Amino acid sequence: MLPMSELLGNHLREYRTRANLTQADLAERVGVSRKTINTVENGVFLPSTLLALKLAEALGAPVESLFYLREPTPARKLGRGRDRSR
Amino acid sequence: MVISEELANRRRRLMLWNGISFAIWQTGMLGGALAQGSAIPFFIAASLAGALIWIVSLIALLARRADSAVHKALDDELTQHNRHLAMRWGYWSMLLTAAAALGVSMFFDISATDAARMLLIVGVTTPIVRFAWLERVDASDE
Repeated sequence: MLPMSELLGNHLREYRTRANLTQADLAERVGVSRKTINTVENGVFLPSTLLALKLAEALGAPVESLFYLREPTPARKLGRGRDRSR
Repeated sequence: MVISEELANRRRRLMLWNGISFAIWQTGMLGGALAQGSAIPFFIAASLAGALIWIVSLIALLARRADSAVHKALDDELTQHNRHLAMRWGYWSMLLTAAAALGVSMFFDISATDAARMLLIVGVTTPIVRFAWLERVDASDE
């Protein structure tokens, strides 16, 4: 079974930089630590629905444009090979 | 939020000291009970030093109070996730220690006090050190 973090992608960094915000700024807006924003952006940590909605609200974007489901490749479906491109 | 990051780093360092010093303190007591002759003063000294560092780090951990916004950021969902993972490590390490103690007790005499102390050392130290390790992760800079 694939780790959940490999199934969920996000455009958080793009939206954040477009809004001219640092990770610390965004963290302050949604009431989490900068490290949490950093780990979400890098796909290390999966945010809760509540945090995802807060992020979407803070960035003025719909949540479904911030987060998306990754299509599992055949190798991933078989549980072989891990995406290290991130 | 720079304050929350500083406090999180401080907490991580103090927890590392706290966990390791607890292990030194209790392992020193365990070693002191099991050792013979000239090794006993070494274990007593290590135990006292560990206890002292543990008390100081515990007071330092409990002393600092943050305002509610910073406190919220210090206990956000990443921290809660890390705490959950660390507790899971603690559970499995205690279980493995209990199994190991059971296995060893079939060949050697282990007192209930020593076995309980070993479980305590592993059960307290593992989650604390694991949490401090998980909290150090910062995937990359901005």
